[in-house]
Amino acid sequence: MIRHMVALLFMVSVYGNTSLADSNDHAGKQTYDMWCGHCHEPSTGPHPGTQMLTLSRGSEFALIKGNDNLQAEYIRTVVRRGLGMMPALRKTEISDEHLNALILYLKSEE
Amino acid sequence: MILPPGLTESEFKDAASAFRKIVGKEWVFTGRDLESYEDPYPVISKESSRSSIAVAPANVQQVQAILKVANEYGYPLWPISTGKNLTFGGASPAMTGTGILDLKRMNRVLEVDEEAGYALVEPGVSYFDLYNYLQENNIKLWIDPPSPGWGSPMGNTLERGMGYTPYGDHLMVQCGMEVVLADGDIVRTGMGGVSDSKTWQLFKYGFGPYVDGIFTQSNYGVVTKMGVWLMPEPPGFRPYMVTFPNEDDLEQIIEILRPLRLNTLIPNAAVCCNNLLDLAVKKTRSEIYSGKGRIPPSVHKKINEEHKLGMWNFFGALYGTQSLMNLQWEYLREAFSQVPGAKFYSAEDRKGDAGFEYRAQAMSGVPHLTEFSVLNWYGSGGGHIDMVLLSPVKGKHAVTQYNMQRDYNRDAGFDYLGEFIIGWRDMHHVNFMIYNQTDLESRKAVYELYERVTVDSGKLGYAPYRTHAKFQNLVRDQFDYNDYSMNRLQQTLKYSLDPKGILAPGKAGIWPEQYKDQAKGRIA
Repeated sequence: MIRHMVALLFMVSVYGNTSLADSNDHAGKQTYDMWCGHCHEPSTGPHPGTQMLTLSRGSEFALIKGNDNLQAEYIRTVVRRGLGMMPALRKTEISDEHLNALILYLKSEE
Repeated sequence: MILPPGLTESEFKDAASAFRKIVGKEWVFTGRDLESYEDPYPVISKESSRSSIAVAPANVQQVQAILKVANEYGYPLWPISTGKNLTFGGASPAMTGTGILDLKRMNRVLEVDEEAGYALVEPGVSYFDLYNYLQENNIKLWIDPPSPGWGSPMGNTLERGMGYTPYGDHLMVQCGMEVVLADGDIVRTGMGGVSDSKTWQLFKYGFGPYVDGIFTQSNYGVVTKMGVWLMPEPPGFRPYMVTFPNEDDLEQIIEILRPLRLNTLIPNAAVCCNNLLDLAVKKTRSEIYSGKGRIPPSVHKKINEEHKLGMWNFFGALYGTQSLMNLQWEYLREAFSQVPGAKFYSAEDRKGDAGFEYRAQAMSGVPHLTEFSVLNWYGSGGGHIDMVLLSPVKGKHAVTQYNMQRDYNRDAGFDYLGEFIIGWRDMHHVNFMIYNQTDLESRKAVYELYERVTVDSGKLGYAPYRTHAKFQNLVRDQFDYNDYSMNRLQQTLKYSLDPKGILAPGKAGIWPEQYKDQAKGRIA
């Protein structure tokens, strides 16, 4: 948890500026919609990632959006290395900058 | 450090430095960044799918410069567009250590002509990108995504993939390419050979020998632009499903389908799948049966009743005006009713059924990732390799292939989850070989199953049309007419077009001289 907080604080400091934070929110949501949502939106039928996480972690932890259980470094590792049936996503697909924005978006209340 | 055979560490460092000068250091990847290029569903091992470097150019000039360096050092490169050929090795190369030429950054939709119905795209444009582009610009054209639709029009077409709309044969609706040859020369195919051509994306064949096909499933060039015909949005769309109660109905179903497809009463690349494949989108195996081995008939009966499925399930769609679709539907209903117990369902009847809805999406050109759910069939760690065997659209062939693969799957400890995609003159018989990629025994079992089906099907005159990076030699060897004369021709082209052997060694079992030790048997 501490590691998660540190990572989050670091990102908040990086994106502390309001306009930068706004554009970062936008980039985070865009990245989520493009690369994550098709598998990780609610409802298990059409969303393979949600189905898998429901099975392996339980329904309370099945979504990646707003899931306090997921630490920033863990998200980063899964995105870059893949997990189970989820293939890795390359830097030519999600840049490091957009990955940071995605992590903030996943943690946000939006 | 993993390097391609014959390349020294010093040569690697010099080549990497040269690549960085071309694309910038942030677009050359080594070390742990290469994990994202490995086979997501390894059938041998992750290690064997590793590359030594990945280089990501932003434009055609950078591709030319990279190939010049590759020629200088003899550095083999495996081009990828979006690298989402997931069931066939993803972005990973056939030969361990080959570098990756990652074209994802070249991601522009260069042109869409709504009146003429085509797009000109770069390699990195995904189906989602093109779909979003058309939606955002209110262009009334449909794309034709495969299922799942995470890849790219270019990558899927170059693999000769299929979709599910009337434009489902992707190479058939491809028109014009720009290709960078191994020596850096740029060729535009078809009518693109004319400067400032007005018909590059309109007429496929150009003048003289038609060459587009040799740049598909091949290692003769790097395709950097491609034209793709897009279907005009029809005035009406009506997806439907027909269920058939018995396993033995397959032969009659296919016999009924053939004339309907030949006469385009079924206008699209429609699908006949077994009950478990449809169910696997919504349920895992343990949710329907806790035992091991063959799922008993009583369980099949129960799930078919609960989920309104047949042992075989046909998904098709009608396109056109309401009156036209009404007429077609009447005819189709009468034809399918010849099978006792056939039941008919509309979109309204299957509302909320994820299995129906994702297939309806695919048949109307909407990309989705729903089909990935089938990888959850055995629980976590799901991987899959698709055996896609070609079959005549004839019942007895479908039954022969189905019986063999159902039994072989069972022998290997796997359920048969499969479908027949109905083309104009052939069927793509897809056997989703789902396994646990985290379990060595499961990987070994699926590897041997794939080999067994390929070899035994070959003896009966059937072969896959496409395969995993590590099975390129195996499938090539099924094309054995006249002592493998086709491969000899392909090798001749390779030696001529890529004399230094830098492009995708091993693709389609075509190998350059310096790696000929890998041309026989299993690819390491």
